[in-house]
Amino acid sequence: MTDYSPNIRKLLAISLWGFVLIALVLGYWQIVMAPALNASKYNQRQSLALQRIRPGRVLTKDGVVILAPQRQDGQWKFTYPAGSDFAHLTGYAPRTGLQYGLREPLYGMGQYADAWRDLLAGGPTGNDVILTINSTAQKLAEEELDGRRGAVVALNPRTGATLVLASAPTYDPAEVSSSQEELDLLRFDPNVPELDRAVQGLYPPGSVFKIFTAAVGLDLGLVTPETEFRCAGTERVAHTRVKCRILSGHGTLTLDKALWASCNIAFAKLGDKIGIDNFIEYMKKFHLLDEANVGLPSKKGRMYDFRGFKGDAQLALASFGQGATMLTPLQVARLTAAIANKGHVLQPYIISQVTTPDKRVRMKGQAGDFGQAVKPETAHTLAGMMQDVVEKGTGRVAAIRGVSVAGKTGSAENPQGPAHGWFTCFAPVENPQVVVTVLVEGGESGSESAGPIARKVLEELLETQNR
Amino acid sequence: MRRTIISPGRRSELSLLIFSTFVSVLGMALVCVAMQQMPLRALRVTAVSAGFILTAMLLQVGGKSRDRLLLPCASLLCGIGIVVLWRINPDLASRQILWMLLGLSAMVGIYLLVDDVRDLAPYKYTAGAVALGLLIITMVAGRESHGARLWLGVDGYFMFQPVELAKILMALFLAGYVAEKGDIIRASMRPGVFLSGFKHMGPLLLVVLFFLGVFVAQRDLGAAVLFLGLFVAVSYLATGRKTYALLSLILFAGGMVGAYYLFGHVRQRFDIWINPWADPTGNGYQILQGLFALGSGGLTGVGLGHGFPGTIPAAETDMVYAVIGEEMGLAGTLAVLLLYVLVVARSFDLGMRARNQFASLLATCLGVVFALQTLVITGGVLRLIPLTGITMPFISYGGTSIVVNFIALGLLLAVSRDAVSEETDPKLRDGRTD
Amino acid sequence: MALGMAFGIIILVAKYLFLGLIYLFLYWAFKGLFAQMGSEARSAPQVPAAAAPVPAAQPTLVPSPAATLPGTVPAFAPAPVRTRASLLVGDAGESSLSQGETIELTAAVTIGRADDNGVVVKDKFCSGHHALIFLQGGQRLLRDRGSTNGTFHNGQRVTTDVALRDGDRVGIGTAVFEYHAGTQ
Repeated sequence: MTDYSPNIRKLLAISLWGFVLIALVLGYWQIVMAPALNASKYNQRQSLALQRIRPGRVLTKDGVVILAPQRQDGQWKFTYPAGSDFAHLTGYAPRTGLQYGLREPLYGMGQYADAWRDLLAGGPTGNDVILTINSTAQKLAEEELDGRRGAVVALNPRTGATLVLASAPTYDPAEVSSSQEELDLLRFDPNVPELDRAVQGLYPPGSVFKIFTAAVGLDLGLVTPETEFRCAGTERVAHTRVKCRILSGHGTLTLDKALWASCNIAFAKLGDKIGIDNFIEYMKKFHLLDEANVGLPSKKGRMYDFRGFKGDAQLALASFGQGATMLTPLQVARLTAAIANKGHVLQPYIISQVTTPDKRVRMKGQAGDFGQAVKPETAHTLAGMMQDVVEKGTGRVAAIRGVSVAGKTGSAENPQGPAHGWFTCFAPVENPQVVVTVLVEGGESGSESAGPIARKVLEELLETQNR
Repeated sequence: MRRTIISPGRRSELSLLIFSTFVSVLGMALVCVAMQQMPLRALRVTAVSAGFILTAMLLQVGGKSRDRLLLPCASLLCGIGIVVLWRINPDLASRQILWMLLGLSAMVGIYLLVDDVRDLAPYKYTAGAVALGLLIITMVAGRESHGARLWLGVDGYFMFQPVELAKILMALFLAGYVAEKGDIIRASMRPGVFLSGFKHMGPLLLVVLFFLGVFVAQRDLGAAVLFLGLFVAVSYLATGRKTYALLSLILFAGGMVGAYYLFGHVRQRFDIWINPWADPTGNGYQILQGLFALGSGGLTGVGLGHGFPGTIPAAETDMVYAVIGEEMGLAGTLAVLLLYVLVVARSFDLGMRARNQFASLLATCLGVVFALQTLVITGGVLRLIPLTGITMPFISYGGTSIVVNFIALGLLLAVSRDAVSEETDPKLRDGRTD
Repeated sequence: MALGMAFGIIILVAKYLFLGLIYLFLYWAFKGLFAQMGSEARSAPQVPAAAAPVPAAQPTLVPSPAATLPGTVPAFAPAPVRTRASLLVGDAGESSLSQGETIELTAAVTIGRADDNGVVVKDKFCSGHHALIFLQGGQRLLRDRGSTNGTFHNGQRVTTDVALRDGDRVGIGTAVFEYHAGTQ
């Protein structure tokens, strides 16, 4: 009779080693490789997990709900009660707009994770986010832009709060989020409605950029508003040909007049005087090209590398906002706000408050501090010059009865088509409360296209005084 | 007087069964809370537990002593299985419960009808023939799905997977063959001669290779591995040498290489195994989602009901281990693994304690089958080996699998009935009762 | 309301409890497994018997569960086979016992004709409750329980408790037992 026991024992041992191997590999995948697996872009669990969390709402400063959570098939989704006027703020899908940019407070994640509260509530809970946006002004801006392509940015120069962030064309996020057809229409629309032109649209600033050049010149003490320049209509400045709007030239004019009449040659000469090194330094001080920090994807500004080939020529062009210069409307607004704010540059913010479900304030937003770019006197002087633009010059369209408004028009040459129309302004001059910057693609004349829009938005905001 | 005292062995079995009931109910409660529905029918999980307890009592008919470990382990495995299955799809879980009750009945039937396991030995050739016959019929006339015919039966009335049954029949056949010829084989082993004993082992090898061919043609690589493993184990037992084991492994490897080049589906399986990231949204999706689930679980899991089994294809059958990994974490997967270790260890132990050769071999073969099933499916999920269509005993959804595993359990219990001497250790301990 | 607040904690506790209980189960189960597998290692390799149910010279059965004392840890399997104290049936006489049968001794074993005895001996000359062998102070003692025909220790009739030593012969009815001390 054969006894199989010894061999059975060996088989048992082999099997056990097999199990040990399995256990080790389990540990490998579940512990060692876990971080790598969780981070894989093919792993949808992160976004799937978000659908299980009830997010908070997003509201404007005056209490209008623009993003509201709704349960659908056991999953949490956002609805868009405020419609297309806020489309670029809300986005239309989980990875777009502020529903992505603000996901940390909205879903109670990251620095907003509150382990104890989540534990008690049985799961992560979201917070409400109140924006600095003024809903009436925002709606007005979108209305004014309707039928055109462009953007409106409004800021509070003293606090850095973003009051309006509008872009056109816009779309209806409710429709886009619920229909594949609408989504396709959105994606393939040649006007690119999805693009948030306020923070992602890069345009040559044109004449509105003259306020930068003027600020630098004044701050360096190179010029005063009375300093005279000669403009012959077409001149060669720094090895490049510069043309003015008036072909015969402005003749002799002060810097002040050069601003409100918008003389390119005068500013080209000023830029040449300022020189490459100073120009670059002030670009840094103003944080001119920096991206925005408003929870939405935004672009950096572009400027020619003046230290490179033909830098001086490019500098001359850049001095009146042409050449290779490209800025977003928000960057222009930020620049304007710095002037309005006595030369102190602030990085605009959009979150006013984050409140927990039990109404506690979790965070109060504030602007980033970029420091003092120019002396307060410089800003004051420049503000006066910009007031002249509105009172005497191309900016007359923005004049408001009873309020002193400072501004600058712009007509930016666009190699791809008609010039873009710009208008940037702030009011009241003696105690600035609001900055408004408007861009109209292909608007040709800044005062005609962008100016009226700016005035209306400015009026609205001054009236409501909602900070 | 003494007849009314329940012996400690039975008591501990009973207390463990009750314990596993409690654990199952707790698990079910967690799942229901997480899924935010508390239907009363969730309490059906207790039907399984009650079934086990009833079975334990029924098996006492005849008063003989038997193994006390297998039932509780199976009970807990089934309990966890139902809980996880419920989380994936309550309807499947409800059906699985019915299958389990059917399986328990089959187990009781086997145990009571088969007085001495040796009674089955004469049917070894029949068993083997039936297995082969079933497989061939299935290959020809079975219901087709995904390019393979794995199911046999009449749609709407009765469907089963013959390959599962074939596992048991094969175990019976091999056990019987070696039991009968074992001594002769051992005697004919000549040291130094390579293929000694070929007269007896040869036919076996051919039969197994034939089965393997059928499986590969049927795209059922898992069954192929299982049968191969069974043969390897049995040949080792029978001959005491590794020759036949190695030989069959080499032949199989050769066959696999051939199959890789010949059959597209084999190639696909291997390619995904080597590098699933080459096709993360297509063929590699399943294995990758399984790995993601495992990683997501971490040490203690995300909690029952908080995972995402919906992202894993075949979550209720082949990949159920990944679901356990996500929701119960490493703690859960290890625990389930250990439960299988208990079953396998006990099977081998019964093999060593059995009073006759056939019982000994049968128990061992069944242990090998359990071990291989578990190792192959967990190995596949863990990407140690290519993923196959093997089921996890007692946990994966599948009526035939459940019933067949219970039959195997019944056979093991029958073996234990003769193998054990008497229950428990009558030494006086510190008065501890369960 | 307070319950609602603590809900998350309850769930968390339940989650770990679930896992913990499974491991507790595993602990008990493995303990039981090792208890009997350990004994397997120690016992003589079993020769799978093709025929005879109880081959001689094998550690074998404890005759009845009455010898079992209640209150033990979970044990799932056959008795661990040890070299315990035992009685070997040297001469079965006219009793129901089989020659060569070995009876393991527990802490207390009753011998007699009645069914409630630990060792049931069907013998004309054996009383209902004939004798008792019990463990005391590390020693096994033989005691007559008031039997009709008496209990014999190495040929001598037993009147008081007698200590048993390895090799002693115990006579009950027509049967004669050999006492083996074993390792216990």
